[in-house]
Amino acid sequence: MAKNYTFNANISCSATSGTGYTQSQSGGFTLNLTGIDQLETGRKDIGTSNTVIMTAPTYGKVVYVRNLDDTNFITVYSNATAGDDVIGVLEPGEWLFTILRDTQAIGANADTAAVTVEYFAVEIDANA
Amino acid sequence: MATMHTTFTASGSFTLTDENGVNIFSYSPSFTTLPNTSAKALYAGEHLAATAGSEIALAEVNDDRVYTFIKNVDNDYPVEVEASLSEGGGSPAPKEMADLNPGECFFSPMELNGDGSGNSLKVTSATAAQKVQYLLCGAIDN
Repeated sequence: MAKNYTFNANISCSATSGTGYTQSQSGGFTLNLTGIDQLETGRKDIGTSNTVIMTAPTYGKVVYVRNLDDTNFITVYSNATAGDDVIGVLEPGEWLFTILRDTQAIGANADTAAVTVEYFAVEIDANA
Repeated sequence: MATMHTTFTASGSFTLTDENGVNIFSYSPSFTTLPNTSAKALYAGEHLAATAGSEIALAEVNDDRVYTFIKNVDNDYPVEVEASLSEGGGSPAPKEMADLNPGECFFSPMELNGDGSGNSLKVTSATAAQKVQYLLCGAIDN
């Protein structure tokens, strides 16, 4: 089974005021991942009580979560249980991407009713 | 002058390929907000992340949600990003929301006041000060 991977990420953001003033930022990078055992991707229902997206990795992870719901928001945590460690709060259609070099799990909970998210969570090794 | 609005767009492209050249996944998410008339400010710039941590003060953004893009543009050491510890000093203390090696970036609609009182971002470099670049914009309340 393959254990070595190449991960590519590119992000572009822009904010535009009604005055016509615009600021933009973008970035991209590649991670070469070696000896990876934990790789999860797909769609998942997030309940109103905390739902684990990724169990604790050995070293760290890259995480992407997109809220596919039409109505409700979700909160994504750097923890297996809800707490202060909020990575992001996603309104319908919004997404987040982050890199965390720690051994915390990733969890999420929906506000008023279960929502479906699109996600990936990939373990990274100490050299990535 | 009439109240102005702000519109925010975030687009990404993420792929994972295994050692045999097999594409494991490919995602290209994107969203554009409706014009947000409650967004008071947007911030873009460059900041020196100190080893003891330094704050990117955000006086006029929505503490509950801020569109946050940060990139480590330096060459040597990782930078941690977290909601400011000093604003609340809550327990448990806020933890890092991203750990960025040189060249890496992240995007998230961040909550700054997870402990109930924060309104700024803290960036901390390992070993020696490092530069980050950022784009921050107030988002609608959840």
